[in-house]
Amino acid sequence: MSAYGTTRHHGQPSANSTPASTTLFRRLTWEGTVPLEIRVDSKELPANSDRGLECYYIQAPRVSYLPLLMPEIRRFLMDVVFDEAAGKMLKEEEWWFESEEGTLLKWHWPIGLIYDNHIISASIRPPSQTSTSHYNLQVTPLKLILHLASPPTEKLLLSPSAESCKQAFMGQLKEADFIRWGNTKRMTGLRKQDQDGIWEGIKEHNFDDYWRVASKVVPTTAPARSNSPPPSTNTSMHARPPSTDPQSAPDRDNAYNVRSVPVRLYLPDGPVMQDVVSPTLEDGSPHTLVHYLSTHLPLLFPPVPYSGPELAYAMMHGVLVPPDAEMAWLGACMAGADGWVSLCVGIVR
Amino acid sequence: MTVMFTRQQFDETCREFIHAHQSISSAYEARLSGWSWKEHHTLPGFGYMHRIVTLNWRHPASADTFLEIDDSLDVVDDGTTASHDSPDSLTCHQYVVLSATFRVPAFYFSIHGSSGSPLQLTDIMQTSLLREDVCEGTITTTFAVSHPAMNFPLLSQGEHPTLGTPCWYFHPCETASAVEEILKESKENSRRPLNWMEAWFVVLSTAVDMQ
Repeated sequence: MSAYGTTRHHGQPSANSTPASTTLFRRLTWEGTVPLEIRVDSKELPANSDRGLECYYIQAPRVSYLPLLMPEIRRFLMDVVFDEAAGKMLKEEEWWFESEEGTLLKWHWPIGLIYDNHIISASIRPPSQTSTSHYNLQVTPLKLILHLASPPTEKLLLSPSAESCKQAFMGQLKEADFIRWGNTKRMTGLRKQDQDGIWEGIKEHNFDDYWRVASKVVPTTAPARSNSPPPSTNTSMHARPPSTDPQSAPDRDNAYNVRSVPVRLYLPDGPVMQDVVSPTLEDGSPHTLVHYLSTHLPLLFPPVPYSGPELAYAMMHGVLVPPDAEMAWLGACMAGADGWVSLCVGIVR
Repeated sequence: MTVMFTRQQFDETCREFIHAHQSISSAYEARLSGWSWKEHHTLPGFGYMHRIVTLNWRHPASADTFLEIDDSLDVVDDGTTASHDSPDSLTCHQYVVLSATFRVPAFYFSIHGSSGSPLQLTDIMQTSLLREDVCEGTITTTFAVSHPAMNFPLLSQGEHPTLGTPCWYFHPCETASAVEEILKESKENSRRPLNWMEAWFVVLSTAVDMQ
């Protein structure tokens, strides 16, 4: 299938069929972290705990999930805050997180998404903070209050366990697979070992373990299309210069051949928007971010020609996404670990 | 899966469905009636169908376990609609939403006891909502009911796509393929979306007591 002498579906490393720029952006996305400050609600600290040490700071991976931080938080609480008797009473299935403003944090959202959504909501909440930034985004630790009991079950999904988190994560990967190809064969065709392996990659935050499996499922950008340098020769034994064979990239896994790119749009308050996002438009040109936004949120992103002031922006992994970014490229190079291009929309003050 | 609803088709089909099933002249009709159309308060394209149904416990003993009431309280389960004052009456909010990924209708629900708190999965299994044989061969955890042969859990938790509240839902993939099977057998080769939705309710009622 692949002219490089190896196929992505035969368990061989994919580095030799993935452009270096794609790998670079995937690694940057993977390595993003956000600062969290976690404090147990003072009303829930037992009488004989050490109140002076109640804050836990963590630089959490954007692609991880709150339940995966819980073992670490628990160890901290056991070592520093709770005595043995109180520690025995800790029931992680009853834990829940809240921001200082009282927003309930969703354990099934990647931490990076929670963070970006939060700083955007904070940026538009009065009174406005003095800031030199045009967007008023304060990149400070996200202050979380950890409650140890009585989760608000009428508002939050139950069971923040690693197991339920894994199931939700695998579900998102399968949905992304379905969006791209109209079926979930790539995901369900993975051996059990690989399915478990991709989640282990998230749990252990290991890029290579994650991508060993993800490369079998996530589309890649064809070397002939992009302006990136050819794959570096010291990682590949089979690479050929792309220019000798423009059809060499396996078309069936090409990001521009998907039926639709898995994209979700998060407004500061409100339901999540999800619609069909074709990789190319009717005239054959690539579907760009500016086109997608002006079609779906024309009031915030007025269609061209528009010469007024900027009203809103789109952020992904804490980065402002340029308007001419191609949706298919985002899907291949900067999707979250769950397979989705999750765009947070912010309003310019 | 061959059928896909656009948002517009879904909205129109739901309205047609609600209108077609307004009468409750027969027991069959009653099962498909009582739905109303709801929209998001500001954004278009998030509409869904909603109705409220009262449920009972399948076995009176489950009510006792749930409510932790003592034996002296008389709990009678005579199969008729329980009054709202009855200690074992359960309120079930049912929703038909459009699955954004699979582009077919999906059935979401939440069940609340008289105190207002939502039921956990093990308690849900004891209510009159699910038919007893639905869970044959399945594995139940606190967060899902799964069948080893299926790619997705049969029943799991998710946020209502418009309201954002926690609900339980049947995975749309599984119901959609069953509907395709039914329509293949059907003599009418009519593929009108309303036919699809009605066949979908038939499939749903094999798992859910649509009352």
